[in-house]
Formats: sequence, structure tokens, C-alpha cells
Amino acid sequence: MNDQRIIQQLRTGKREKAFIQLYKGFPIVKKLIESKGGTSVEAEDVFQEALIIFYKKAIQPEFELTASISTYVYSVARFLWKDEMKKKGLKYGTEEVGNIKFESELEEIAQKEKKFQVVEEVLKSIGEKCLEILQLFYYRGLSMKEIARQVDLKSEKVAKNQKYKCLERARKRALEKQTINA
Amino acid sequence: MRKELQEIEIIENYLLGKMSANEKADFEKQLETDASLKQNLEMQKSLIDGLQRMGLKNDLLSAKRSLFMRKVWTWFGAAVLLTAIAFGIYYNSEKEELVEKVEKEINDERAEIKDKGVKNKDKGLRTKVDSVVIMSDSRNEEKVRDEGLTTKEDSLVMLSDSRSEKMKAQVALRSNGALEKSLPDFAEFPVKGFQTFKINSSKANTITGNERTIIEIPANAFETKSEAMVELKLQEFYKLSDMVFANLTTQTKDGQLIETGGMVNIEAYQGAKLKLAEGKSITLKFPFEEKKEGMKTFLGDKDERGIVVWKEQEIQYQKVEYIHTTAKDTFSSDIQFISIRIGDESDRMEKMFATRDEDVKEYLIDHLRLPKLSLKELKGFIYISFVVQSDGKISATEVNSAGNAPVIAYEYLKKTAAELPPIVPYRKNDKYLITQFEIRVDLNKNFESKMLGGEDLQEYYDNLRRERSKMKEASKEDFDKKLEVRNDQIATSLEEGGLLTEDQLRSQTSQYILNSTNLGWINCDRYPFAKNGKSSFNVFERDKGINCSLILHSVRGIVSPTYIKQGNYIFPQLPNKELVSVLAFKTEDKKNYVSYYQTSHNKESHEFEFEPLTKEKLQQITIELNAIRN
Repeated sequence: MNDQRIIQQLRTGKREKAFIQLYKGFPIVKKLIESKGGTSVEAEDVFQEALIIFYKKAIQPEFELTASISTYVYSVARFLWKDEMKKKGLKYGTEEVGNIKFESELEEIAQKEKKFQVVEEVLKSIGEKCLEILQLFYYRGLSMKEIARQVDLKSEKVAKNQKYKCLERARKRALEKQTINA
Repeated sequence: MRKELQEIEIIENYLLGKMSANEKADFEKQLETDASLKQNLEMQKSLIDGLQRMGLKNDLLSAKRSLFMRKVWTWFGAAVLLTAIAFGIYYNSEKEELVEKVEKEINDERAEIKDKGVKNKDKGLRTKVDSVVIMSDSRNEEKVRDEGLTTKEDSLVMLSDSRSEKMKAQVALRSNGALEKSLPDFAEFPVKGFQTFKINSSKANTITGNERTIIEIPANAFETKSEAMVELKLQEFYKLSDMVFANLTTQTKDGQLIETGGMVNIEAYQGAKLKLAEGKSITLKFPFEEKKEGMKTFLGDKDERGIVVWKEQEIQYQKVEYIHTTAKDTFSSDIQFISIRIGDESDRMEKMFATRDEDVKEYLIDHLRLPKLSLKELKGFIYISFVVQSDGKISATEVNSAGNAPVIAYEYLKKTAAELPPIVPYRKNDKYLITQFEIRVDLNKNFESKMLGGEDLQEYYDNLRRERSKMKEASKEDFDKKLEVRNDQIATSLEEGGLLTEDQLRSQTSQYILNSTNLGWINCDRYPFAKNGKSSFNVFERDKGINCSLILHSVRGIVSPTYIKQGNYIFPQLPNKELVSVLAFKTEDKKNYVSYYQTSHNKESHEFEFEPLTKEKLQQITIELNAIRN
């Protein structure tokens, strides 16, 4: 599939089709990571991170593709792995990574992604139903009315209230986590 | 709305750009001075980002899954059309193309891409295809297809997003007035009466129903008031006709079909209805002619359609034991462990592990040592969780949440938990499973005696670790041995209570023996089908108030439609080509009609064929239903 079409799909919310295309790039990234001492599980994590980073970039209106998508994702994955190795105190290898323009920007993104892992843990701890409500609203973008129907709540109002309660619970859990990690 | 929730709403409106210009200006002004508001804003923002990220990850996983399935089909298709070798070439060339493309763009990565990995992997693929080709030689392509997919699916179970499936089921089961299920008013329907038993509940009792269900009730099993005499009422359902004419189905709450080995309805009365006392369970023995593996206890409840739907009984207590790895170990065995707290209505969403295990908690508190703290600091609680691997090792020791407890205490509790001796993991279907535990430890002044000065503390934990490392690793044999010992103990206690007679032994081998912690509707069931190769069974019918069921032939099961869509009664998914009986009743102008015929599930929409309901017709249906052997 044509790269521009993938981006078009991502921007118009047709993520599913686009992701299937993008996932075809995995074998190459996997080989890269494995050749650099990673496991296939690590390779998959890195690859998914890279896709998420690409996705977030791609949906910004000012984003312009300067290389092919597979190159982009491959380079991001390579950068992420290098970063990971650095943290583990290991050398990535002797060679230098090519001069990709977005490298400094990537460093910042990688930092952010780390932070999300904590948030993810928090969200996983707030209960299945809460998570479902929040995801339907903030990720799928459904209306509260539709959500009330899907998760079997009496009314839109109840759903809305529940959503705020769930956010509150997540906030509390996050605070608890912060105190522990501090 | 509470104040906290109001703030969350305001923040959300800001984040989603739902504020008017004025509101926005006010809010931003407030942000400058209110540090906690600012912090909450940041937090909420990162939660929303996190939600989006998690959603993306889920979507990626399902993309991966679709891609994989697509590939499986491609492999299969290619295998049938071409030879295995030709296919290998085809696949290689596709991969090579992709590799080349990237190589062109990233010159310096050439060496890495051309490594042995690709070739090895392709060899693996080719073997897979070979096996498919061989199977298709057996000229049962349909079957091969299904099997091929089943295995693939199985290996992917972990990746699939089970939540979305659950969601679908919930949507399908939304209350639908049109599906209310009641039988027409017809005097000839057989009535399944209650059998009544009077028992002295202070002793253990065994009752046997007319259709040979044996129910064993331990002493003092009920929450009785003062008297011991209890009246038991029992209904048994083994014949398909009995089930159908009692409006029973074999479906779970989320619409899944289950296969039944018999159902009973058991109620206990002492004037009012009684419940089983907490911690008590009854044993039910369902007779069978031919054994089917994997039968479990399902408990029934009426849903909004007025039919009894079933839910697998949750395991409430699980025996977990320590492995005695050293002579020094003095733990007692047989600990009651893990319960899954579902909570009442208001607390419904707190679905998490809690433990009732006093022994593990005791061990932790026993072995915990803390640095010098002031008495004031000894307060609050800590939830600590750890995972028992299937080999008994403790890992992923983590503090989940805490209230007011000093941070230093977390660390030392974690340290102590990390040195737990191997624990026998949870066992299900003869497999040891990875088990998660969560334990709450409350700090109080009694912990004062556990405080040690710097060097002593260090030495204490060093010793603990050394001691632990001297213990041998637990193995599956150890676990099994433990189980054997326990079985022996049970056997001995049985023998002491009198040897089983020949008759008892024989009857034991022709019954499903299950436990139930509840009275009411109890069903002996299993999940009959693999999850693939199914599609929903539809019956086209304009009338909406029709009571209809499908009676399956290959397994003992009855299902009702889950919803009506565009004039179609949609039943749960069934395997293709499944032989079924379609049974429906309706009442028009005070006259009753019935439709009954056999058909196979061929993905086409079926229709009812109504005729007047007569005594003769009912008899004929009864005979036909009971002739179904499964």
C-alpha cells in the first residue's frame, strides 16, 4: 500500500487497516533488534513503541513524510533500542547511527513514553469496567450516550458520573504510586 | 456532584476545549496561583494520554492478529494451489523485496538484514506448509482448515483482546423486551413437581432424587435459626423434553453455549427460604451413561428474558501450601487462600485479589524487620503483591498501594517477601498456574519489637537470604508429592469412616461429582466447542413475541435467541453443519401454535413452520426430543 494512503487512513481514524499494513514491517525490525542482542519480546515492544511514535507524528497536520514509512519506523526502532541499551549500560555497537533529522526530538519522545508506562500500570489497576468506560470515551471517541448503552449503565448521566469517578480513582492510584516511587 | 468530581469535570472541559473564551481565561488565571489545580491538570492530561496509548497498543495487537490470520490463510491457499516448494519461493520473494527496499534507503544496515535469521525462519514456515499439504491429502479440506486455524488461534489467545469480545457479548445481551420467554398457556405441558425431603440438619445427610441425583449435605450446612429440621425441595432435569418444557436453556450469562450433564433446582426451607452457611458446600452427584470430560458446576440465575442463565461457579478458596524444603522450615500446610472479591452493587468495580491467608501474612510479619522508626511512624497499611511462578518461585514482589505507612517499611516488606519459601501454585485441570497474591499488612505499635539498628538489620537480612538460598528449589515432583500425601490423608479418613461398598464404588464411577456453595439452580456443564468455525444461527420471523429454542444434537444443549435483528431471531454461534431441532411456540387469538423441525446449520436464514399445538403434537415432540442421543 502506498505510504500516503496509510497516513490518510491514520488521520481519518481508519487505524485498523493502516496498522495491519504497518505491522508488516515487524520482521525487519525484529532482525535488527535480535542482531543487537535483544529478544523477540523486546523486539516487539520496541517495534510497537516505534509504531506509536510514528502514529502520533503522522496524525499531526504539519507532518510530512521525508522517507518511506518503513524507513521511518525502522529508524525510530533503532533509536529506541540504542536508548534502551544505553540505559542498561551496554554498548549498542561500534557504529554510529545515521544522521536522522528527528533524533533530538526522539529523545524527548522516548522520555515521555517511559512515563506512560507508569500511567499504564495505574490505569490497569482501576478495574476493568472503569478502564472500558474511559477508553471508549478518550480513545474510541464515543458519546456518553453510546457508552452508557455499551457498558450497560442506566443513563447518560450515570455514565458521565461514573466516568468522573473513574478518573478520580485513577488520580488517587497515581498519587499513591508517586508516593511509593518518591 | 461532589467537589472533587466537579473539579475533574472542569479540567476535562478545559482539556477538551469545551470552555467559552471567558471561562478559559478564568481557568488559566486560577492555574497561575493554584498549584494543586495545576498538578491535577497535568495528572489528568497524562491519564488521557495514557488511555490513548493503551488503546493504540490494543489496536496494534489486533492488527498483528489479523495480519497473522491473513498469513495463515495465504499459506493455506498457496499450499492448495501450488506445491509446497513453489510456495516457499513465493514467500521468500516477497520478503526479499521488502528487505531490498529498506536496504536501499539505509545503506549502512545491509550487514544486519542479511543474517541467518531469515533463512532459518523461512525453513520453519515451509515445514508448517508441508504439514498442511499432507493433511489436505486426506480430502477433508474443511476439517483441515478448521484445525489449522484452531491451533493458530490457540497460540494467539494471549494476544487477543478479550475485552472487546466481552463487550460484544454485553451488547448482545442488553435487555430486549421482545425476547421475554414464557411458554403458552397449555394444560398438556408436563409439570415437573418438587420432591420434598425432611432432614435433621445438625447431622450430615445424603438424599437421592427420583432420577438418581445424589446430594450430600454436611452437618450444619444451613443458616438455620433454632430448629434443626429442614425441608428440602428438589427438581431434577435430565431429559431434553423436561428441560425444554420447563423453559430451561444451557447458556451462560454472556451468551455462550454450554453442554449439560443434568440440572437440578434445590431449595431449603424452614418456614422461610434458607441459604447455605458461609464456607459450607454441598456435593452433587449427577448420574451419566457415558462420561464427558471437563464437567463443572454452573449456577443459574434468571435474566431479564425470564430464563435461567448460567455462570461457572467461582473458586472461592484454594488450598495453597508451602513446600517444606528444609528441616528448619516449620510452616504448617493447608492454608486457605485467595478469594476473588466481587463486592456488592456499589462496590462492583473493585474486582481485585484479596487474600484470606493468615499464614502467609503471619510469615511475612514474623520475618519482617524494620530500621529504627519512631512510634508515631508505625501506622497505616501496605498492600504487597507477588507472583508465584508455576515452579513455586516468588517473583514480581511489588507494593501496590499504601495508606500512610512510612516509605522505608515498603522496602523492607518487599525484601522479606522476596525471601518467601517456594509456595505450591494454584492448580487447575492438572496444571500448575502462575498465581498472583496480594496481602495487606497493617503497621501498628507491635512492630516496635521488630526494629533493628543499622548493622544488625543488614545482618538479619543477609542471614535470611542465606537461609533461603540453602533451601532446595521446589519441583513439580515436590508439588505432586504434596498432593499425594493429601490424597492419602483423605483416603485414610475415608477408610476410617468405613470402607466403601461395591455399590458405592460403582455408582461413583458413573456420576459426575461436583461441589456447590449455593442452593438454587445448579447445572453440571462444560464448554463443548472450540471457539472457531462458528457462525450465528438465524430464524426469519416478523412476529416478535415468539418463544423459541434450538435443541442441539451433537451435544446436550439448548439455546435461546440473544437478540432480534431485522426480523431475524439471532441465536448464539454454532459450528457449521451442526444438526439442530428448532422449536417455537406462539399464541394468536387465544390459540396456541407450535413449530418443530430438524435442520442443519447452513448459514442460511431459517423460518418457523407453525401448526396448531395439540396434545398429540406435544407427545410427538417429546418422543423426538428424547430420542436425541448425545
